[in-house]
Amino acid sequence: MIRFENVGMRYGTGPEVLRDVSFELPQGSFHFLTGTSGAGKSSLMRLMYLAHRPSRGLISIFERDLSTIPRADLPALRRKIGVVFQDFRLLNHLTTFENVALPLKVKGASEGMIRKHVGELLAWVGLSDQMHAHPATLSGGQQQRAAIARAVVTRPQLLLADEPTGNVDDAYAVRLLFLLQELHRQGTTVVIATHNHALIERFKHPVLHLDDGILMRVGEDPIYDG
Amino acid sequence: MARRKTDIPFGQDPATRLLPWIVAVMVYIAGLAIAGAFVLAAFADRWEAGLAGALTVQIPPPADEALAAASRDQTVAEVLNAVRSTQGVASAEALASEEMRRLLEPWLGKTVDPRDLPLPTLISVELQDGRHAGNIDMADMRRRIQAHAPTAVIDDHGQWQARLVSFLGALRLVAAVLVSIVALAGLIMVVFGTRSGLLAHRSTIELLHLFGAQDNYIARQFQREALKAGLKGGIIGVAATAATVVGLGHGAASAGTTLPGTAVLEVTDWVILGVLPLATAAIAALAARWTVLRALARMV
Ligand SMILES: Nc1ncnc2c1ncn2[C@@H]1O[C@H](COP(=O)(O)OP(=O)(O)O)[C@@H](O)[C@H]1O
Ligand SMILES: [Mg+2]
Repeated sequence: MIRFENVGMRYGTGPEVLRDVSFELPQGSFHFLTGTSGAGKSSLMRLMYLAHRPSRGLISIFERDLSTIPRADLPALRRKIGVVFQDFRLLNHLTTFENVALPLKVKGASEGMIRKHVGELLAWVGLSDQMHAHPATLSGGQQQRAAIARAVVTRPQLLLADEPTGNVDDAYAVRLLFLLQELHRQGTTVVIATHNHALIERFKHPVLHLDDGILMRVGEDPIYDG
Repeated sequence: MARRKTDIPFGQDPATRLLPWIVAVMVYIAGLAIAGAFVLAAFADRWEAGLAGALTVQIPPPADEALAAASRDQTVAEVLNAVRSTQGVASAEALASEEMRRLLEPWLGKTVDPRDLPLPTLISVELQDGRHAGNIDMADMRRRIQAHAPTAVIDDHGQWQARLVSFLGALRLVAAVLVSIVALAGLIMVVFGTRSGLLAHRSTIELLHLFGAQDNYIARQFQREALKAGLKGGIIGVAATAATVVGLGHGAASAGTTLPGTAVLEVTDWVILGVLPLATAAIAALAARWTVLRALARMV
């Protein structure tokens, strides 16, 4: 599903924030991505959700070499990827419903389709009663769930969540993880950036560890569900 | 009526809210220039229609009295030939001495033969339909005539009017240039407004891209915004133009000025002014689209 070979990344003309990163994620896998703050987790995520091009190395995604993909083909690939951003990136002028509906709207889905899927997902994350509220009036946890609903509303093949448990308590984090595991059971490939070690211990998925831009360790004994 | 929400929060930036008003001012200026050009055209048409389609050529009597009348007749005949062969001339006749006598009778009485007097010979020239001193080659005619009668004088009646008509033509050109400049300035405003919008909504645009939005999807939103601004500004600008034109027309009428009609503009002129907001909106939308697509092509 995703393959990195000696990938380097820099912002503009700055120093490399990722160096010689190589790994492979099989389809249907579930990985944690750990590392201290500033280690490069979000940067690695940005490469994976095609927001940034590597400064060197090879990335292939959905069996396609990123360096040879024409710009016009990127939207089709991006539509297979769901992202929960570290800062949610909900749009404040839209309601919760409209925010969650946005990726479907971008795909050109019909009004009926949008109503059905968004309604289902808001119920799934427990936000049905907040669908007309604006994100600014939601609690941190509610915003997080809205962001998750938006990330999976298109049934993506790859789900990338950047510290989705960053600002919720442990009990809540566990509930979120169960939500994501459910998606994984349905076949979605999942990568979760987190430095919540209690979660990693509890869910026992393989771990990618970043240390100052270098990928240190890849979990050797993946434990897949189902 | 519920406002349709856009993915990009355009309503929040001041540049977008100001744009219709900037467009309105520009359309107002352009509209006045266009209306002015129409009025000038009406004036020019009327004056042109009033221009005499006739000229008079005067051949002064020879200084040498002894010169035979025969030689004089010869000169007149040559001048007549020269005039008749000039482009745009329908006919040319020398005023017969009978006629001359009739014209001079009130002053001279019946006893004097004008041919005995040192009077100029007059040649009356009729021009072809639609021709007047302003649109035939006067220099050519003068050259042809003076080849035979160096002291001949051409009285072209209303040539000052012809000059006025061509001056009005120049003024209309100025109006056209003014409209072009305003249109260009408006275009630049739209392009820069769109660019600042792209910058202001950079992160929303990136988000839409990450959801898999095509450039076209994003361009459409900017395009629709520019279309609305162009239409709103265009309608306000043209309404202001119309109010000004009608107001000036009434003012002129009550001052007793003989402007060509109090309505000032003709129906077709009003139709063209009415199309102005649509044209403005279309051009603004296309400019915005072009700007966005160009900028997005450089993004990841
Ligand atoms: N937009 C950016 N421009 C420049 N440098 C950045 C940008 N985002 C992150 N960085 C730098 O890249 C490095 C990795 O950051 P990041 O990927 O956010 O790490 P993490 O998510 O693990 O905290 C840091 O040194 C950070 O300062
Ligand atoms: Mg981060």
